[in-house]
Amino acid sequence: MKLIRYEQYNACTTQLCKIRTEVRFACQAMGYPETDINLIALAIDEACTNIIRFAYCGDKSGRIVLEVYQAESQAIFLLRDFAECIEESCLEVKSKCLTEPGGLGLQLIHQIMDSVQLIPPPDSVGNILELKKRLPQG
Amino acid sequence: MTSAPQGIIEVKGLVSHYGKRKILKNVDLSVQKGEIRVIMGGSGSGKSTLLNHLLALLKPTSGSIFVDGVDVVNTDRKTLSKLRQKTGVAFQSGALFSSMTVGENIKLPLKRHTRLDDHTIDIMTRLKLELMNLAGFEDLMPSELSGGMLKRAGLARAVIMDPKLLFFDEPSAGLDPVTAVELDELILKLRDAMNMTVVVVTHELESAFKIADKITVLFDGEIAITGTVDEIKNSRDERIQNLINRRPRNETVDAEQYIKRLTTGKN
Amino acid sequence: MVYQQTKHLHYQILKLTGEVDLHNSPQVRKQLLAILKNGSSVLVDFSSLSYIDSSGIATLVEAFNLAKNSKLLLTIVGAVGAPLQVLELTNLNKVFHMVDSLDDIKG
Repeated sequence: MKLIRYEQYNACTTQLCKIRTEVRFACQAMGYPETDINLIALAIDEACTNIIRFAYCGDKSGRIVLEVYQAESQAIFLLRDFAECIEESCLEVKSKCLTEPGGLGLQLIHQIMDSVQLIPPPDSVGNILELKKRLPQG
Repeated sequence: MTSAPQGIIEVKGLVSHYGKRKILKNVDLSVQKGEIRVIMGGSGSGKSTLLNHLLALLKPTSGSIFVDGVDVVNTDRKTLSKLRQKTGVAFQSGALFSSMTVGENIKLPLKRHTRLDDHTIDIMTRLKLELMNLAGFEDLMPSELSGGMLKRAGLARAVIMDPKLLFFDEPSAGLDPVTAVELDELILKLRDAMNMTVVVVTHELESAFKIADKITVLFDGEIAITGTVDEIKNSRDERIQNLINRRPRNETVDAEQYIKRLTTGKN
Repeated sequence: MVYQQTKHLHYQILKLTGEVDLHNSPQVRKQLLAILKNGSSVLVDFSSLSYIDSSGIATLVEAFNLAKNSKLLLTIVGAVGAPLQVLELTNLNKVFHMVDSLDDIKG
């Protein structure tokens, strides 16, 4: 597993554009076609949006760390925040919750990525969201 | 004192909420010692929530959960911590600490929970590395391992304390087919060698059919069926057949209802 | 993101250029709802839009619903690339009224 990007951002909506650009570059380097790149950038943007809105509740001094790894058969995107711990069930989508804050974004994330889960942060501080997407074939 | 339940895992009438949303609706689960039980279900079916309850990471709204005879809902911290030492958990991504070598990662539970001599710990670690086909990799950093190796290293750490009970979250997710098959074989080997009870949460059908003694399928927070591989394959439940044949969900959209759902949250 | 408001027949056109995300979707919402509350049907021109996130999509859903209840039209014009993919992903391409270009709009 190779680390191909490590970036830190402030939990502020003005950073979203930069984050998308970074994700696009990383995806291009891994050989994803344009259509996949569009979607992956959207999924990561939605995840960051939820971190900004719900983990940090708009506190712009919060930090978001983005790590992108290229593994044998998949790309792994780790988003770390240092806010209150959330429960895994926050990541589950039901059709009825589309109107709940973040619900539509969450559904998009699940639709786009192959796997979405929280992994325990090393020192039990904050949350690490792990998003995986199969690498393009061939 | 409730009468001692039979299985190593006994869940009765488990109801779990996230906020106002009911995630698990009256779930019963009984896993026998030495069994490999696969819990299947799509995203949002509640399978991760169920796993988190079995690990006593969440408090249920109602219902009882006994793991190895311990009432995990009502027990004290000390008993829970003892139980955790007998329980191995392998998370989806291995979740190894990136600042430590593979060997140090695997040793960690022994260092934390036992007073064994360092030499003993080293040998135990190498034994597990051998078992996982990771011999010679102990001094590498996690970032130098492939996806399949990371998962095996995570598994090695999960079983370093020789747990009676092993929980494995999505073992083959994201692995190439060959590595996934190897991992399945490893799970079977572990059960046979150490007489472990293994609970695997997955959405990979092939892996489930290969390793499971019994499969429990969750749909929308409810158990649709629990049965042997053959019973699952022969089930007449349409949702199960859709799962097996991977039929895509119906794609027609009732525009009127969809907009209503989106704007009001009601059907 | 920049937006530009013009007129076409009896429609107001809201042309979105660049990227709509959480940072600027509230602006789009304000503009769209204002047009509809003024009693005018609206064409949302996506042809120069390169990105839209779920907050932008939610804004469109809200506006679409308001339009419907006010017996007005909300039409999306010229969606391509990533924004079109998002509409497809959310199945909203089957819900919204969508056309390829302004030429498809008749008075």
